[in-house]
Amino acid sequence: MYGESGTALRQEMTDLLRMHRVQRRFGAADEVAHQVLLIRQYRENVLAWCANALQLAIPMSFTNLPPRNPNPFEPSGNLSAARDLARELARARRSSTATPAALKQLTNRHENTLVEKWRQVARAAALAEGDLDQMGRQSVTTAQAAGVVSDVAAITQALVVLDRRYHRVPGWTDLEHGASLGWAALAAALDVNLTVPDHSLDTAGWQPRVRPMRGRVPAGLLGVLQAEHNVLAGLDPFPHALRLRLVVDSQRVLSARLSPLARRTDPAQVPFWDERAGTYAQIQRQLRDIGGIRGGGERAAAEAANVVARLKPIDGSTVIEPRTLAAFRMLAQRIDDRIAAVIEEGFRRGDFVVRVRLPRLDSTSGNLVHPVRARYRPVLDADALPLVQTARQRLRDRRSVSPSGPDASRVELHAALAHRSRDAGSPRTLHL
Amino acid sequence: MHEGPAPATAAARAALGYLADQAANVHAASDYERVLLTLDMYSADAAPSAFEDVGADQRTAVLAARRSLLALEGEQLTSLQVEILLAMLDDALTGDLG
Repeated sequence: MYGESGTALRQEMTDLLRMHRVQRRFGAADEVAHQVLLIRQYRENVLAWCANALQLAIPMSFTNLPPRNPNPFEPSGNLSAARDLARELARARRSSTATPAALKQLTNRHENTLVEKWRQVARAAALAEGDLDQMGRQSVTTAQAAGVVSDVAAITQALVVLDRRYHRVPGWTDLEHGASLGWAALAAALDVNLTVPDHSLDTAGWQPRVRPMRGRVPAGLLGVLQAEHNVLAGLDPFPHALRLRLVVDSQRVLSARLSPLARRTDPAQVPFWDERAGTYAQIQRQLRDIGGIRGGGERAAAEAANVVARLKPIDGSTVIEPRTLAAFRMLAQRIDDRIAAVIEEGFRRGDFVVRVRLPRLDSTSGNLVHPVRARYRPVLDADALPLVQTARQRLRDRRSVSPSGPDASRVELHAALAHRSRDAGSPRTLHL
Repeated sequence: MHEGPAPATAAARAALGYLADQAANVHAASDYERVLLTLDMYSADAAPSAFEDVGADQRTAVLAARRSLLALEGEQLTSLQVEILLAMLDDALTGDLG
């Protein structure tokens, strides 16, 4: 996820910013040249992340300054600070002579502490790039783009601060136009912070694939938990409409059965399970009129049957551990998300169709009744379908909203950026 | 009248759906739902939807479901399939009443 990889990058960068008196940290004189070159290569990796992340945000980045010219056919007079930053980053990368570190340099541990820290920063940046590909597939809002710009600006500022700090190291090459890069980063950060950036993209990005749990089935509720986990794993391929109905049925039974058990362990969770049981009962009713001929999901259907079968012997006196309940809730929310996505995608792709409703027989009307030729009809406007609306409103919107404020790593990085060392060797003012 | 097995299938689906919605407990509802799902599977999910009101009570709905399932024998379902569905329905009903 962007949140995790971004946090890792910021934490490593914060640690690096806290390493002062850098000249003393390099090794013997004959090793310095090699180490400096390596660090410059690692810096390229971080710059690459900055530039790529910004590319994701730029289409939706608009300046928050009031336009000087309100006529949309003419230039506004105010350039977007994010675009300026992107231009500066591109210039810095173009003029650099170092190449980004390759896989071998990113993965092999270095004995020098400072170089090792740079390696970890570069590795975090390389990993964070993997998330950007996945995030590009979803539509980014302006507020989310502002969050990305703010993150990139902070990392760029950190690079500029470090550049100044390493200025006196023998063999060090400064970032080309480092000062303007720093100012562009500052301007971009100030611009996006005129509004509140939205950090909800933190949950986007690459997610590890859910693997089915095999092996011996634990007794009791843990066996149900195992089956529930495997339902989630089995929903990865697009399920057939009939199998989706089996999964929905199992989720209804599970929620209805967990609600009384949760009452003893954690009463605060009872409304969640009660509401979920109601939601799935409604979805089950609405799914009866949906059909389809394509799709897999055999594993999900088989595991859904396991969920129901393993729940049957569990009586009301069973004690559910808080950890187990939390695991059920986490899985339930992910399954909700997946089912909502499957329902929407199914109608969008045309895999799900709606049953034709037989006309009521009316013996008094005198009209002839025509035989039914068609069994299904395609859905032209899926948004108007009650099933899609239910999935959207009760499965998607209900999930807990990710924290929109800055997380700890963002605060710490900014604190480290502003922090000055007390030693005489470092500059007293922030050179940008 | 309508031709073919469509009306009987639709009536059976409606009755089973009604039973699942009105079941006394969630396991019984799940059992009724599974009868409905099995019927859809046997009929290759090629059944139309039915009119809403199937019956005023559980007894009428069970009778309607049985009658419709038996009417499908030889049409869309084999005798064995009908027997399986009827047995599943009986089990679900036992769970519902008990």
